[in-house]
Amino acid sequence: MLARDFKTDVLPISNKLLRFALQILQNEEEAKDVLQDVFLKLWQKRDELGKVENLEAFAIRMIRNRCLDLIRSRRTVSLELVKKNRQQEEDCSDADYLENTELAGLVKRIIAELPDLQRTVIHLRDIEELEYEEIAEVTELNVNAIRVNLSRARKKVRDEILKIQNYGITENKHIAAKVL
Amino acid sequence: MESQRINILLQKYFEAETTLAEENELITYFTSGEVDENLKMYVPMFSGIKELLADENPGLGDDLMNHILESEHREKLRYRWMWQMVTGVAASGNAGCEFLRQSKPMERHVYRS
Repeated sequence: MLARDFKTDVLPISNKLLRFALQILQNEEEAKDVLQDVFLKLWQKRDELGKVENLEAFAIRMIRNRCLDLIRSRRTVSLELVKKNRQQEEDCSDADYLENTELAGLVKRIIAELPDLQRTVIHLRDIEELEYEEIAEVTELNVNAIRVNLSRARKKVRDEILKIQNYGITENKHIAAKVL
Repeated sequence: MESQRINILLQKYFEAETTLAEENELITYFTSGEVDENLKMYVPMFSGIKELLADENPGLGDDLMNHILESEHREKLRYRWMWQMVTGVAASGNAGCEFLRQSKPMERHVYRS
């Protein structure tokens, strides 16, 4: 693959890959580091990329593996980080999101709290718009398992949003009752 | 009529049986501003997904290419430095050998005398 082809075929998927890394790691700095590492590797192997059937799925799988490696090392190295993240999550309660008009942030946060496979599958399908076969290539799952995980993930996102909406309505009624 | 179709699509969506085109149809409907009262509860979910879809950084590709070229440049400099070290060591080795070679006959001469 020529440098020119790399720029036209590989670089345009960088935003997709960054979003995916961010979804897994929940840390912008680490996600950017992973993205740079993966792109450097892709660049160094650009002569072999012509043989890859689905470059996008191939790159997404590289990102996923790299992120999972990082999470594993993070778990073994620092429990402090986990504690810190947990504290941040607790500080940022659902009630905050009732006042937050940025729905993307709400959906992103709910997706982030899903189990790994459900999170990966819903992100790749609903945000990156990948076909089931492409998701199968990234996750090494069969299409049926992907559908099961996707269905569960979508229902959980729906239920969480409804729960938050209902909580908002209840809170508003409570405030209204106090005022009256 | 439309809300009936959307209801069917929603059921398929939550069972992960929709196509990408049908999923886009749902996003378009729920972000159109003309949503049936009974379906309004799904607006935040699909609006959020739509916002995430548009989350792009246009300069990211250029930043990555700069990072790649800088890394390559650094790597080349490192190799050049290593090469200079190796050739430097080899050159001083050669000079040392040459010095010994030239000094040996003199030593022999001294011993003989």
